[in-house]
Amino acid sequence: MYPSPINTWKPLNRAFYWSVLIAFTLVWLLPIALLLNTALKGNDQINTEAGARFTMPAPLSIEGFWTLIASSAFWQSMALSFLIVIPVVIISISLASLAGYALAKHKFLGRTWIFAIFVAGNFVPFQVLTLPVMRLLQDIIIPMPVIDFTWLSDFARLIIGDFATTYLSKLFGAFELKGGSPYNTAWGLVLFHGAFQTGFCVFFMRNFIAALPTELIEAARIEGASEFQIFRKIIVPLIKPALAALGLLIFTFVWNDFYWSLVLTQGEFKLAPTTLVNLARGEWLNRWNVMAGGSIIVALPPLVFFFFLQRQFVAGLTLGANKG
Amino acid sequence: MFLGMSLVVWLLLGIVALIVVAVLIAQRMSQYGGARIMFLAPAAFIFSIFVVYPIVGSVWLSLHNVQADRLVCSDGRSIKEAQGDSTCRRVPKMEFIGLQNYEKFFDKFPRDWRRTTKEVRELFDGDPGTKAKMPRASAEFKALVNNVIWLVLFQIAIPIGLGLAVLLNQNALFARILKPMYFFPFVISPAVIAFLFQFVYNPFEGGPLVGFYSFIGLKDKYGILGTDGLSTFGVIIAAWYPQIAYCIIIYLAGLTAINSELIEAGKLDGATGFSLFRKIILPQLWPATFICVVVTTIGALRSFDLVQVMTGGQRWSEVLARYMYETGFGENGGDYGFGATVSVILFAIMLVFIVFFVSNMVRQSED
Repeated sequence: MYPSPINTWKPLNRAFYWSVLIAFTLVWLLPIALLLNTALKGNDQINTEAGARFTMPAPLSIEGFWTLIASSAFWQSMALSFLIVIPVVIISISLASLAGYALAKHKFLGRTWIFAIFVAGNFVPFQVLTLPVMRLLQDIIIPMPVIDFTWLSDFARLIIGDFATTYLSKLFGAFELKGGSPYNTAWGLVLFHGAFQTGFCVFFMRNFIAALPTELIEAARIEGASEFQIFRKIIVPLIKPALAALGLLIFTFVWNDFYWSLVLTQGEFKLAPTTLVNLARGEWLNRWNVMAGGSIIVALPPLVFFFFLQRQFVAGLTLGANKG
Repeated sequence: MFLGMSLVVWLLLGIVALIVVAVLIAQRMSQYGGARIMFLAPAAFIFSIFVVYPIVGSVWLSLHNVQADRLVCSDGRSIKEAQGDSTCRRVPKMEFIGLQNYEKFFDKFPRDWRRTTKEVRELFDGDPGTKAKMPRASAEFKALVNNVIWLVLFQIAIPIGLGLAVLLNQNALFARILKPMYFFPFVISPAVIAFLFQFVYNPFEGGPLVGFYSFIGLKDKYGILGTDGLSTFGVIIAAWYPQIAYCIIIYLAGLTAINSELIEAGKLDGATGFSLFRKIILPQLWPATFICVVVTTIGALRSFDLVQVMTGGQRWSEVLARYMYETGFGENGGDYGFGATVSVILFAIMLVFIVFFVSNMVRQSED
């Protein structure tokens, strides 16, 4: 182990180590302390103090959070973020496990090149994709199935009441194809993120599956199993832990995305980080305690996952570590 | 209203159907022959449509004059001809102009080395007397210079991360508590990181850095983000925060894999302190360093979120990625052709790094 355990060090070195570590930790946590500090200040204090300061919140107040709780635009974007992230994770992970298996355990012409393209796709700047993707999403016209769902909405209104139904209809309205094209709907974001994250997932899964013993697969082949049976009965059980780690990473990457919901959607339908920035520039201008509270809430879902599943997270990052 | 929800189901069903069809065909085909292609097909299909094709599309777009407000029907008729016709879907008109967009980009660039150094120096002139004058550099040149600065300064996150990882690589309880404290900025959205550092850089009385501002002689209440030529550095330092966290994670994983026999051997040979670190530890950390360099380099060139939220490209902190957004979607934007040109130039710069990194990574995973 390097460096050697701290309790084996000379006292002088140990004292030096501790002072350096404490100094660094204080500086490191300073921004977060400032954020929490600001979020807990009352409106009056914020107004008299012009900006975030290191004054103690006096009195300790959650007025900022009350403003947040009342903001339906904010919560809608949070719910929408969840609704978009989950299908993206499912799409990219399932497509990538299939492709990863093919790339890892089958030899064919162009295998290395295809793999290289998947890896390289991760590194391209988003801007070079933006305009064609936008046009593509506008050009895809999906004929809408005409199904009458009024009975369902009447039924829902009966059970959960008017307020909740309007809220839900607004939320799911983001999924309605406007003019038949997925541009400016949640579908555009699902499709694009699903496709883009597939690149990273393929890199990750290919490397993970390549490390699995080939003998298992060959034995199954001799037994007469088809390729799909091999995938389902042998590969899938073995990659389950990797899938969990990968899912967490993709969740974080897509949740934190700011750019794509800025360019692929217009109007009030935006994902959580983008909505946060918009609100902070409009409705919440100079209301630093509300901004700080909103930042904390937007950062919370990945943070909760991270603190509870830290081991999977770090394992995922270090295995497929090519992403920033 | 629940039509929307039903569509969620539709798409998921569609994806599942795609996979099922692929697998079914795979089963029908000879055991090892077609199977692999069908396993690969769905991912390759969706990836090539949304990632590979758009790159080609952007290059093609950059050779055209495309304006957001110059529209034609998607079938080629002009808007006037198709007046009142509901089948006319309005799309921007594409007019082939060859390399004119690229000429426009490089038009105001300095032509010789003397001029280049002069313009760069003007961008970072600390002298308040000359500072008020507008620098001659064009917006494009400024963005390019800032990208180079990002590329260089962002790398400092790597040694800082390495140092902190060495500090934290202990098994005692305190280290186990501290590690997540150092990791977490990595999972926070860049938009939130930007706010965090706007709080830190707060130039008003009582802000944490106000003393520092007056010490380095910043006038008025602009702070580091509001000062021409300094704002880029402010944004880069904010970007270090999650990047250092990432490097700590990677280096800690690398440090657990260190071969202790080699350390013992090194100690027997008389290596101590820094020479032990440099000669024995650092070479073993090479894979981790490589990953950190890749992610940091790509991240530096891709920087968009922090610049957009913290300064909006004002105060000479523009970078190419944001400049493309500005020309395409910004307030005076709508020039899609030129936006595509900016993005293609950024891509061309990154391609040098991408080819080098990817060929290394693929070679590593091949053996």
